[in-house]
Amino acid sequence: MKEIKLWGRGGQGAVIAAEMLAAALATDGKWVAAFPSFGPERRGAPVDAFIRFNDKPITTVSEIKAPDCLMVLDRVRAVSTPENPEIKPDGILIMNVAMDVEPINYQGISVLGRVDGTKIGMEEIGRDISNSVMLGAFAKTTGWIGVEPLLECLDEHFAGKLLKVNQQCLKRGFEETVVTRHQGDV
Amino acid sequence: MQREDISGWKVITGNQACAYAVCLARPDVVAAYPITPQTTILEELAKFSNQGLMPTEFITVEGENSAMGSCLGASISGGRTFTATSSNGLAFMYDGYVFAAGNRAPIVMALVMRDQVAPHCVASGQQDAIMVKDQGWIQIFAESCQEILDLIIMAYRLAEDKDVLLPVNICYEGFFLSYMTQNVHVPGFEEVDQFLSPLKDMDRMTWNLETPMGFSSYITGDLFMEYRYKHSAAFERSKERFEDINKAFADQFGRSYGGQIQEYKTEDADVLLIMMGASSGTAKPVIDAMREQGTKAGLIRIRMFRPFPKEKIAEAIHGKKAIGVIDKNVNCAWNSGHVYLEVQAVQGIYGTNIPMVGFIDGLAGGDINEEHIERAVDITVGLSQGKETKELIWLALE
Repeated sequence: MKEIKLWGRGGQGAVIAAEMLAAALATDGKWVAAFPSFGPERRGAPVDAFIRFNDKPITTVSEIKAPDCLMVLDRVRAVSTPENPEIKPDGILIMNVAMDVEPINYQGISVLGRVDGTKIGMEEIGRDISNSVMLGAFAKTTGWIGVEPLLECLDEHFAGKLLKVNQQCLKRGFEETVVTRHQGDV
Repeated sequence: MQREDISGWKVITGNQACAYAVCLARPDVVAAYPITPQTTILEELAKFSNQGLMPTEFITVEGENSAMGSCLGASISGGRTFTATSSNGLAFMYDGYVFAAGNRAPIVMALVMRDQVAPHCVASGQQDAIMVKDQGWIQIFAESCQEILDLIIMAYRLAEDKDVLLPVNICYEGFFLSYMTQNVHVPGFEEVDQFLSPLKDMDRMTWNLETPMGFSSYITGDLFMEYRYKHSAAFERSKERFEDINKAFADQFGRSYGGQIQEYKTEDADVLLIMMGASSGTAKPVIDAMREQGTKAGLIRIRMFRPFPKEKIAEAIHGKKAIGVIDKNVNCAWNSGHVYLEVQAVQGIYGTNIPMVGFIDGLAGGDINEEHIERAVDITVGLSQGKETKELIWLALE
């Protein structure tokens, strides 16, 4: 079983991202369980989303503390991500960060994926909504799901022009994510 | 009416699963008011209605009190109804809620559980269901999105059974199930029609314009007590009926959850946990892992909470060395959880004296996680070995 945690803020589509990722994994033959955790339901408030997937049914409904993969959708939460994030040993970290800044030397991870989700979101959608970009980053960095199943799941949530721009975001997220592998940071 | 096939495997939330089940049951009337974390049930039902899948009169009421009033009127006129609410919405609905029970209206209602406000929260809890547990509705608790769908369908077959005729709450946690996305198999219209077909031959008295009749008349003393006596008898019959319905559901749809209770590795267990609701699902892998380490633990998951399955619990706990009850609710007046108290009552009635320890956890969205559950099992094992143990432990605070 693999555990994924998303960090976002209200209004950026973190919850939809978790639903789409779960749906894509399910079409790939996986059993999934995904749900959000948030306090006040308003734009800007922190939103966590948890996704579990496995080859057999999942009954667990607890929140994920140390995931196999932590993905930070929001720039502000990225800035406040600690250098030793709570993640399984040799876990995967995926960040929405500015690419012209020196990457932080995160401890305890095996793979780091970085993409400027905010910039791509602004260019394609005109808003700081990085969720589709980060799904592409997820596919690139983890290799746990292909881009095609993710693109198919966009159909369930978007139509017309919104579907097109989100497809663009997902593809650019996949193409533009820079993946670095860390050796022996623990 | 369009009968497009909506069946198949889907990846949906608990609220969507609930909505699919309601759509398949094809109620005559849905009257409901939105409230977090139930709102997306209504959004989904509205979509189904717009797609022409539901021949249902939607009454967009101005509040939960009217929601129950509308359902009550429709139900006693012979209609199949549905509503849903949580917490403060239920509080506003209370007046009608009690009316529905006293009038034996077979309404099915999703209770998307939230904790009680003050301090303020909209987070997951069970206290709203607990608040109304003794007001005469059947209450059944789900563990998964699939079970939510299956229970809503079973609920209609139970509620409208002429030997039952009681309203039914299908209770499931807000957030942890309402917004939980899981793989769910949605059956087809024909299959659900077939499962509910035994109800076709069952007549019930309904309010109509041809036969002058009193409804919810003013009654006192002996006659009133006879109403309550019969209500209790209906509750008693509903236990057996629920067992039968679960068997029939398993036969037709291939999914089985046990009956009034679900027993998980209880047979050879030394100690048992007793839980109710979604967090039982978290406990199952913990039990598995602890068994691998040599701890013979098992779990009783209470599904039918009202009426309370005292016979089944007495049978399942027989011969065990200790019991730990994890309550996701609190009875401040007894300084314990509610399920803990009711299991103690079972022991009193059946004359058993198995040592018990109560745990409280998960109030207002608190996470009943693997660590807490493992600790609860360890403490229960300690109790079985004669270790001095507190009567109540708050897992998040101690």
